[in-house]
Amino acid sequence: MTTTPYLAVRDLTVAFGDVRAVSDLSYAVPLGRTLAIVGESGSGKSAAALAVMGLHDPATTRITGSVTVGGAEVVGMAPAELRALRGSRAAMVFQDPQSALHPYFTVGAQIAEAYRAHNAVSRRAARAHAADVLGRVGIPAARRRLDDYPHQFSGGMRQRVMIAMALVNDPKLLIADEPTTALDVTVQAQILDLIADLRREFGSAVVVITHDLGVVAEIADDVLVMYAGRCVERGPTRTVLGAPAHPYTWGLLESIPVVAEKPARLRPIPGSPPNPRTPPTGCAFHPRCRYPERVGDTACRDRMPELTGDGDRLSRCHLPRPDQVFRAEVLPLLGTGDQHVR
Amino acid sequence: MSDELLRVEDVVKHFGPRRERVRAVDGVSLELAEGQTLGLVGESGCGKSTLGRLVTRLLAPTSGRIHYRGTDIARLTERRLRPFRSDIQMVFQDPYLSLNPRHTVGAIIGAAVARSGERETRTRVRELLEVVGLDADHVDRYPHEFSGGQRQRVGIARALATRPRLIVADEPVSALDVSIQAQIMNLLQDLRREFGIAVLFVAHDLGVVRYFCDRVTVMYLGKVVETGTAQEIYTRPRHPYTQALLSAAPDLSVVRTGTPRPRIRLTGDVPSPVDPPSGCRFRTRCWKADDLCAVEEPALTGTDEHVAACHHA
Ligand SMILES: Nc1ncnc2c1ncn2[C@@H]1O[C@H](COP(=O)(O)OP(=O)(O)OP(=O)(O)O)[C@@H](O)[C@H]1O
Ligand SMILES: Nc1ncnc2c1ncn2[C@@H]1O[C@H](COP(=O)(O)OP(=O)(O)O)[C@@H](O)[C@H]1O
Ligand code: SF4
Ligand code: SF4
Ligand SMILES: [Mg+2]
Ligand SMILES: [Mg+2]
Repeated sequence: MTTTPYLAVRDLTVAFGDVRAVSDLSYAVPLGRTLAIVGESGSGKSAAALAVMGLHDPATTRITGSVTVGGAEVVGMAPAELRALRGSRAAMVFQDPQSALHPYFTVGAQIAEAYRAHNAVSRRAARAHAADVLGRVGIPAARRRLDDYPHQFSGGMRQRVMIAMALVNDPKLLIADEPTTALDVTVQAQILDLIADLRREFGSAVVVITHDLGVVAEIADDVLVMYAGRCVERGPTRTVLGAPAHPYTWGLLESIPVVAEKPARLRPIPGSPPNPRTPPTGCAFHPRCRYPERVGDTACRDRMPELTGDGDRLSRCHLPRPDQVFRAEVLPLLGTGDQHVR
Repeated sequence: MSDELLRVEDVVKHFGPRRERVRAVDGVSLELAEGQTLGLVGESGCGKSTLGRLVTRLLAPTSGRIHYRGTDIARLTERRLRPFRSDIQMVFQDPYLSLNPRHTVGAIIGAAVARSGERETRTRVRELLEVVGLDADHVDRYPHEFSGGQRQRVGIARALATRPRLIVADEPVSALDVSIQAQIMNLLQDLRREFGIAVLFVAHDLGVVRYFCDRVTVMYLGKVVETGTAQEIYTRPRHPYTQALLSAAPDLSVVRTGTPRPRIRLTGDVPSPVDPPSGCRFRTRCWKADDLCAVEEPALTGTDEHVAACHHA
């Protein structure tokens, strides 16, 4: 890839007291591309996203490493400069719409305010722009709905209002934290289409955080899999989901019953994610992994594997020839994928 | 059905005052045989949980009949319901809210075990913990000492304590992480095979339902729009709403096949259940709707294997 990435994260570490939520995370997103970050709850997805937006409380959070947005360093950026960045060049759609929409102000007032914070325009002009953006995210009769309060919208519409608010200043970077987790599949499909359209229309860099690999398959160019605060696998979506190299990614795929076919049986990952206060030694996944014996002696328990790989796909695992293991032992469990619905 | 366990007939549940009556369940019929699994799917608010609560008689229906092994339990008094309560159990979505935080899991499960001596109860509780894959020595721990998946196992052990024939599972895995969801689904699958328990499985995840269920019922705004064997519903959906629902589900297999499935995109939101559209309730979002759909409500028609309610299916 020749494009310089708009968002570049290098060796990012986020710690709350003695809890290390994110360790040594690196990734890059060029303009016009979508990266999905997947992982179980507590794996550090949100903590990493908030660090990119400079939204952590510096009094309680220790952040090291580097995050650049359009060339500007976010780690250590002054609060005023951060405010200028957020909402103009970079915007975030939060996991919980309740937390980001104020219940006592009309939707129109909130969107107009977000616009006026970064543009010297009249109230009238800001209101017209708000109606415009609401219409763009597919709210019918947008002008009339400006004076409604958040509770007067359905869950899916509130999520669209949130996206409208994030887009009001045409950001070059959009981060959406589980934007569809609480929504029905029909509404989820609308929101995913919307995010895809916006990327196409404005050529922004997009990061979507999700725990749903189906969502990843649908909208992401690249995917990054997190486990216990670290990237365990990263690469183009077709490669990572089509021929994954990490046992955790295999486990996720083996755990999901897909709509298009009926698997004989799921093969869940045993156990549960580690407690971030007492992370396992060596490879954090080793207590749940099927392959440490295959690696030999106690390497998985003793040594943290490096993130290594060929070309644009990286994986963090000691297992030799994971491609062969995947083809011989995992792929047969995943079905053929040719029994489509309809 | 020869070995019929449950037959719900034209059951209605309305909430609220006359003027703002919420038609949560509005004339639903379904059947479940012994040991069978029926998936109940549909968008948020279509009445799935309400129907589940009617079947377990946590709610009383406004009208209609609920035949359980030949007895209509729709209108039974609490006292007459008691023997049925142990037969029909419920597993809830949220393993955090459904267990009393001040009681040990031993006490929670023990309270559901049929009355017997303290020693016997404890033995049975330990046995149940092992059946659901928990450590029997954790009997004196409190819910907060368990992870989400483990708590869901406690909820399942509690449901099994009465040796039920029917379990209503309302979104039993949707609050859990993907890797834990698969553990719980396999557990439910094993238990129902081992004990021959029938399951009414409420879920919005269509992949989970396909994995788990023999038959599927699709609901829209308090009504059944389609019912059939899982194979029929997933490979030959007839109702436009079912087709849209299936095509909207994000699908992983696109990665392996490279060809995305054709999509049907529904626009707009589900109308209010206080004032549902005339005729076919789906017509405000249906791309096949015509004048007939606005005036005449379509009836469920088809074969034993597969029925749908649509004028133009
Ligand atoms: N106790 C109640 N009082 C008033 N209205 C209710 C009550 N319980 C449910 N409803 C309404 O009945 C309708 C059906 O609700 P229900 O909980 O059965 O939906 P659901 O299909 O389970 O949805 P979800 O997928 O969101 O769980 C909704 O409009 C809901 O707001
Ligand atoms: N403000 C905070 N203070 C303390 N710990 C936190 C805070 N935010 C997140 N954590 C912890 O950091 C870890 C990662 O959390 P999070 O990024 O929210 O995970 P995810 O979004 O992947 O579910 C978890 O162990 C969580 O409890
Ligand atoms: S390093 Fe070892 S424990 Fe970790 S994922 Fe690879 S094989 Fe499993
Ligand atoms: S009856 Fe008419 S509106 Fe209803 S689903 Fe069929 S075609 Fe659509
Ligand atoms: Mg999160
Ligand atoms: Mg419900």
